[in-house]
Amino acid sequence: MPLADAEIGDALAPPAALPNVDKLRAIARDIAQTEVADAVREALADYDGSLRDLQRASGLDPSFVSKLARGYNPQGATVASLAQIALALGKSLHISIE
Amino acid sequence: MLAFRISLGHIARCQDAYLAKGARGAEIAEDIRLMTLKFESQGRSFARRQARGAGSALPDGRVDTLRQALFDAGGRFGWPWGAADCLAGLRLDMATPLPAQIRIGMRAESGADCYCVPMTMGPEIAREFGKMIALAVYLHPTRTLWIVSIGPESDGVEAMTRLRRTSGRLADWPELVG
Repeated sequence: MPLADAEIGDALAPPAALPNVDKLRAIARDIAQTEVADAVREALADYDGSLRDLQRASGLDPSFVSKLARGYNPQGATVASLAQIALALGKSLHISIE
Repeated sequence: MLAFRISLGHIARCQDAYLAKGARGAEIAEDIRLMTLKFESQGRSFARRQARGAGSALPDGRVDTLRQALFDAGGRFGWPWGAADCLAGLRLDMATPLPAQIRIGMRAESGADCYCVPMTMGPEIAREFGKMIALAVYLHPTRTLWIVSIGPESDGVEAMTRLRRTSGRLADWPELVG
């Protein structure tokens, strides 16, 4: 059954002004770099192997992983690549939108 | 150890003030919301790195401490630049001391080394957002740097004047940094 207008409004709760997509994209990119860098660096902190070892285990280029950890992530890490890193390190990946 | 916090209550009041100014104000309020989310992310990252940093954590946010850690020869590399993203826009040359006595919560504290300072955004963000600035307040007794206001640079002088006036009225500190 389709939602009534009021229910749609309640569900979406838009801000008072529609966000400028370019601005939203810039902030999203900035936040993504920070959060990914912290997560990857945290995951690597107690890893005994080298980035080469991680490459063998995950199939990911060491320079790619290193750049993610330093917050240099212009292309954007995929969720799958983060899961690859997590699994190769014997960890799990959790994502939440709050 | 330095903490980086955002005065969400005060920033929400800034947003409300812009929302009351029509369509352009609503646009500014939305920019403030996005900038706040960015600062929150950077603040969490800063806290994580500080907690992990042990010996390299910043002991406080005094102007001299930050200048040395962030800008002096060797400082930028001694304390990783990425870890200082949330501090990179501080205009330390424009830091204004707070009154000799301030009040935090119910306690009167020395205002020595406390200051307010404008803060610009990173280059990429600045391109997208035009001339938005934040105002930060450093309270040395709690070793906390608070982002207390975000808005257009054109309103910065007024915001700084209001902040000085507020910081001069000791009773208003709890409202400002809550």
